[in-house]
Amino acid sequence: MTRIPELQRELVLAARRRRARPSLWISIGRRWFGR
Amino acid sequence: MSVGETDRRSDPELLAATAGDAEAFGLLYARYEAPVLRFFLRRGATPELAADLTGETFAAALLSAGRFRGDGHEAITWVYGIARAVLAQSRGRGVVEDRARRKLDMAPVPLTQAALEAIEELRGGEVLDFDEKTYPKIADTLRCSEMVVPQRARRGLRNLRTRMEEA
Repeated sequence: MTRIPELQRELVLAARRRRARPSLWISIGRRWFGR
Repeated sequence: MSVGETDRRSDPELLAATAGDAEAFGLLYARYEAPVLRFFLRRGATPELAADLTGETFAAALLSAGRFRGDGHEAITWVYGIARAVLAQSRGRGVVEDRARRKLDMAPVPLTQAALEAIEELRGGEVLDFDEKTYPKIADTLRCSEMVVPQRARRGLRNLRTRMEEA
């Protein structure tokens, strides 16, 4: 049991958001090739 | 969320898994929340300040989780390195550093009274806590086996207790 479960939850959500976000190079590639 | 204690993955494995499995980082947080909070409490932080600094430490760790290579160092040593940098930056600026938290779009976490009390309890904490020095590191310094370190620590504490009782 953590002392600050809310922080643990926020970190997991942040990690999830990072996973969902395409990397910078993929974004540039998409823009470049219009995909 | 699965419970950290039942997950047998090593710290480097959890860090490597973080990119594809967000829960993995939550498990790492559960493992090292107390040592990191204690790290800041020991350096004079209030429970509230320790919580904010801990949040920033783990946010920064999340940002660079993919870059952790170990190179013979344990993950906790790496986390303490981040904690030390967060503390230095915060002291330098006179406010709690929160760049990593903002970069991750993380909302500041409001602390409950229960959380503050639980953090405060860590201050007394375990006597047998080697902070940044891990068992392998101590074993290396003492030139003994890693298995011997906890035994020696217990013996030392026992001796100390006896002497204090005698005094």
